Formats: sequence, C-alpha cells, structure tokens
Amino acid sequence: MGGAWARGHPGDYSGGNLVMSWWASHGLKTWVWQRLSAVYMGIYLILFGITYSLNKPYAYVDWHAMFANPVFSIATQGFFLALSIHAWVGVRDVVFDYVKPYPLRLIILAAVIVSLIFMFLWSLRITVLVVD
Amino acid sequence: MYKKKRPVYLNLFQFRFPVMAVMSAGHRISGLFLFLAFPLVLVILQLSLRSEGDFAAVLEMLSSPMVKLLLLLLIWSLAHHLLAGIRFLLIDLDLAISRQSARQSAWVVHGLEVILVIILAVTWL
Repeated sequence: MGGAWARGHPGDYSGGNLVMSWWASHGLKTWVWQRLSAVYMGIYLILFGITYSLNKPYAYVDWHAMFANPVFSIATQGFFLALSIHAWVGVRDVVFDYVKPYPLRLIILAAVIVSLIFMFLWSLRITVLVVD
Repeated sequence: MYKKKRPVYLNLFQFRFPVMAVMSAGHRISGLFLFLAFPLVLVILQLSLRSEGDFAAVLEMLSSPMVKLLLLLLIWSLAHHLLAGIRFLLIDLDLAISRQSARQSAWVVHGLEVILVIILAVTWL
C-alpha cells in the first residue's frame, strides 16, 4: 500500500501528510476550483472589454482578426475551460441542494457533466478554426 | 432514534427576505440561466466567426426585439452573477462579514449591477 496509505485514505482521521485527510479535501478542492475559475473569468472579461473597445470589431474582418490573434484565442479557450469547471461546480451544488433521490441525482449530474464536456470541446473547435 | 414530525413552514409569500437573501437567490438563478444559455452563446459565436454572410445573419438576428430582450436578460444575469460573485469572494476573505456591512455591500451590488447593465445594454444593443 505504501504511498497511498501514507497520504491519507478514506477513514483516515490522523491527517496523513496533508492538512486534512484525502477524503475530506474533496470539498475544499472543489471550492478552490470554483474560485480560481471565477477569478480567471473575471480578469478575462475585463481584458475582453478593453480589447473590444480598442479594436472596435464592428465589421466581420476585425471581429475575425480579433479571434485569430493567438494570445486572444488561447485566452478565450482558457475562459471556456474555466467556464465549464465553474458551471460544473455551481450546477452540482444546486443539484445536491434540490434533488434528493440518489438515482435521479446521478442521472442529472451525469447529463450535466457530459453536456459541459461537449460545450468545452465545441468551444475549442470554434476557436481553433479561426485562423488568418 | 426517534423521528419527530418537525413542523415545516414553506409559504414563501409570508417570508421576510433581507436584501442579502434576494441577492443570493438571484446569484443562483442567474447562474442556472447562464448555464442554460451556454450553448446559445456558442452558437452565436460560431456563426459570427464562420463567414461574412453568417456574421451579417447574426447581426440581423440580434436586431430583432425578441432577441434583444433575451440578450438583455443575459446581460443582466451576467452582471448580477459577476458582481454578487465578487461580493462572495470578498466575504471569503472575511471582508464585510458583519450583518450591517453585508447589507450595505448587497445594496452596493444591486446599484452597481443596474449601472453595469445600463452601460452594456446601451453600448451593445
């Protein structure tokens, strides 16, 4: 068992080598991911606003060029990745709060996670296909 | 172990809702609405980038009043969710956690969000 047993395992309340047991850290990790993705999206939206105001992409050529810029493109992909993670955590919390029967909860959560994965992959396709 | 039948009172029309509660409920509702709007946003983005003709079609679609209403709802949801979310982040950092300052920050969020929606709606719609 070695390393896995030292890190903290379900039922381990001694703290292992981490701040809290592995089993208990799931909630904290989820909370951190929700905050991190939120901060990234907030910063992206501000930078998007600035970029939009500077470029004034009111015509197709300018709009297309804005998204063809590699830095902007990758930042946008990061935005949609953060959005998928953030949406997953948020909707999961709502489902936990309002959907009590476990089988229904499982089905709904599975549908949500599959659709979010598809949304993210779709956003990758959209951004990758924009080249000058 | 005994399971007492605890009294349940769920008449929402007779609750008093402090402003923080309204803001928090709005945060959750706007989050759900934005989640449901995710595919719509991707469709619009994809069409607007695909070709000149599709871009023009998107602009034309966005000029119809029904779509503008939907867009306004989206902008309002985003503004509320973003500003209320920032307030929650500040609370995570233990800023403005007392009841009085929580009420004040909730009103500030509502005020800022109206301003933000007006700014965004005027520039984009």
